[in-house]
Amino acid sequence: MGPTDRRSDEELVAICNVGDAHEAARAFETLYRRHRDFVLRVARRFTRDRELALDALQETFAYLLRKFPPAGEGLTLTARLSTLLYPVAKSSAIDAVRKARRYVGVGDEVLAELPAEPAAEAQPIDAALAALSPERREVVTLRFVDDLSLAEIAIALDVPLGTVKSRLHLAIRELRDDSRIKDLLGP
Amino acid sequence: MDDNDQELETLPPALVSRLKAHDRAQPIVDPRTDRAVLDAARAYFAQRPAMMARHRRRFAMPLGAAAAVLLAVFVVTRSLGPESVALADDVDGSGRVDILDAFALARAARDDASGVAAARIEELGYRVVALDAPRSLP
Repeated sequence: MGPTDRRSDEELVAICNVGDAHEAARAFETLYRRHRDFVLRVARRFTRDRELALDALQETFAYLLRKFPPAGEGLTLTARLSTLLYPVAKSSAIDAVRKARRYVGVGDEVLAELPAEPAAEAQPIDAALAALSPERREVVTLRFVDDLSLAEIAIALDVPLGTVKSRLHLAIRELRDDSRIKDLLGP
Repeated sequence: MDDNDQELETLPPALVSRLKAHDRAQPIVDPRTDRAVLDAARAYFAQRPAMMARHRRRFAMPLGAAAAVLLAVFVVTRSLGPESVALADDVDGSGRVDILDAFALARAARDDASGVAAARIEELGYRVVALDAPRSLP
């Protein structure tokens, strides 16, 4: 790739909608490289497995690709692209885990939430996050790790803004009161 | 939630830093995955020029022909007076004969398997050349 592409996501999406083959492919590549790591991190949170996360990554961008012509009718961004990619990545990751479990003969558990299975050598942060409910853990991660605004989190999770605020408020309170976090941060 | 709660809506910066570092300490994407995604995208968009060219060919000839004919009608009938414009030429029913009728006729020619619309373009053309009195197609 050449110098950093400064075009906005909206411009790139517009080119993917109506540009010729070469222009559209280049624009899509920029979108992919710009959002790839975010999608992989999201997928990794739900799969806890690198290979499954990579599968989910490919599925997520295949979904985005099909939004554009010739198969799709085109995409209009009404919010940041990450708010569209998040639920797709989450869903793809959960599907990947489900298929993998079916393949190895494990029961088909519905995994609709962030797994909370800290390893034996779990870091204090892992343990503190695991202690949160899945919904609160998800909101905290989107807010403080992925830097989404509260409104964007509401869009990504398809819940009311008030619900996001409530979950975040309670999650922050729990983390602040968690002795592991206090020990981690020191006096 | 009152103003005192605002400070509770943030975490200590040190904790935020650790959360980010912890989450980002994940495997990076390998080049093989990048190639798979981008190759798929190139193949997908590669269908686009052929599709667009086919659409252009479908529309170009009847549109071009109809537009040229109706433009000629415009020039001729304006000199003869508006009353000479046949209602049959008002393809879109707007009450006037203009370039929009050319497009409507071209669309009809594209969709009309019986050839009636295409024949109508031809008939219109002959009338323009001959400056005959307007008449309607059966």
